[in-house]
Amino acid sequence: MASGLSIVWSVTRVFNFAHGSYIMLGAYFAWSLIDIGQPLLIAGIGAVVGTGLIAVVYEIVLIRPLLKSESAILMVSVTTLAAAMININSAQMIWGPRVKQIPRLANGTIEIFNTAVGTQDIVIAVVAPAAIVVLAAFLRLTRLGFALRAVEQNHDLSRLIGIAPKLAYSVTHAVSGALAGFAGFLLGAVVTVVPTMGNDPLLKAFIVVVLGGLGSITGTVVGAYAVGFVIAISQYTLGLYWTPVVLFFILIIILAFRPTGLLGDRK
Amino acid sequence: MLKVDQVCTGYGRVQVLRGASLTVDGGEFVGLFGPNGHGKTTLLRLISGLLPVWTGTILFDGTEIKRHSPGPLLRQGLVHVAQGNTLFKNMTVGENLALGAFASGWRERHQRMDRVLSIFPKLAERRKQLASTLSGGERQMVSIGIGLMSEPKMLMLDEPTLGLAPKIREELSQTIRSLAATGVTLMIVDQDLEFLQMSTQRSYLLEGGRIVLETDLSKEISDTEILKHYFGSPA
Repeated sequence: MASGLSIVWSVTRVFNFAHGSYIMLGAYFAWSLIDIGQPLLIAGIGAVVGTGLIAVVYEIVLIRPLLKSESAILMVSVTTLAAAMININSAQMIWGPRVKQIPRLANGTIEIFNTAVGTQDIVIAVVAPAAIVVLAAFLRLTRLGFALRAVEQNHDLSRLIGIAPKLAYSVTHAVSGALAGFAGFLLGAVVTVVPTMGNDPLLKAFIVVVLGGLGSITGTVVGAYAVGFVIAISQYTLGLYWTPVVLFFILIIILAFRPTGLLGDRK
Repeated sequence: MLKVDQVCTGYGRVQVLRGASLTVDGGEFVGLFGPNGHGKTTLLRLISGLLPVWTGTILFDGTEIKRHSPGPLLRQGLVHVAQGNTLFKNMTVGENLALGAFASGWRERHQRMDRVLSIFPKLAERRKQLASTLSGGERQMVSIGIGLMSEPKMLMLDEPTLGLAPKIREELSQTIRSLAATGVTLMIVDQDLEFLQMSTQRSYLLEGGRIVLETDLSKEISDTEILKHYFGSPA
């Protein structure tokens, strides 16, 4: 989830606030496919492909026309916030207000150090880092991945060596949407599927990405684990309601000393 | 190979080039110099498709370039190495070079890299090093190397000596001369007349958006005419 947000920032230099709603759409796509009798694998693929396509459409229709504007960052932020609201309300209209649930990939619990851990949680703990490894491999080993990193680092030179930035932007949004769709598919089995289910992950992903350093995939992974630990400790000791306060407090402290995040580019 | 005839262009409504013309034959090494802000870089950007042609014509290899994007031109064999050590700074030297083959020859990138590294043996040692950790001269070599990776017919270098120490400049000039063996055609834009004299066969002086002089620089390096163009007429 956070890695998707991070690559969009690093390649296109805009922040996509519709990203949370992509998670929700991924979950609903998966649920709909299961509802018509498709197996979990097809549901997962449907969530990834469907959300990836929607992300590309939004990129072409909503984000690309604004990139030339002088205040692109602000305009894209506001527009993508609007897109998020459209997605949330459309989901409410299409799928109704009743909560839904995606079947778990794995049932039951496993006892680790006297603590019962849900098997689905373990699946997520294994699959999410695997998705990051796949993303990193895509960025480092494929021609398209090279192109995305090139545009991220030097827009003009990328053009001179023949990379079309528009294509790079679309691919970035597709990958980012696909990652969000996949996150929605996994998350829909743990929490209930409702139109606003993407809001809380968006907030956490925002903290993860800013904390880890915008545009740094390694930073995003480090940030994700750091935020995960802080949430776990804070919920255990201070309770659920104080956790966001603690998170933002830590974020402010870190940004005060390292304005580009833990591993962000120090330009 | 390249024929630029009476071209005009600019940025927005500001006109920079006012009818510039020049020709470069196949295999030739040609320089372009002139005062700052008179359109040298603009001419390169125009030829490589980054700016639209307002009026005039540009013929490359017999085909007219009107408003191409850099991609198709690159596949035709025309490569622009941009000013100011522009590299992909957070990538290794090897990755930077590999990207040079992005538009044409991605599959042969490893073989091509071996060829480019044989021209720049210094870079071979630094293949796994991040581009941001290189010295100015090395960065310039990577820039040229990126250009060579697409096996161009013609290479245009924009201010390769910018910020280089005199000794490094000489090394770079030697390397550039060694490119002649590859059969590439070269156009070098630079302020440094001595460097152009070492590296090219003849040069054009661009002033006020027009080509005002063609010289081989060997006889005329201290020519009052060049000084006059740079500093105005003596009082």
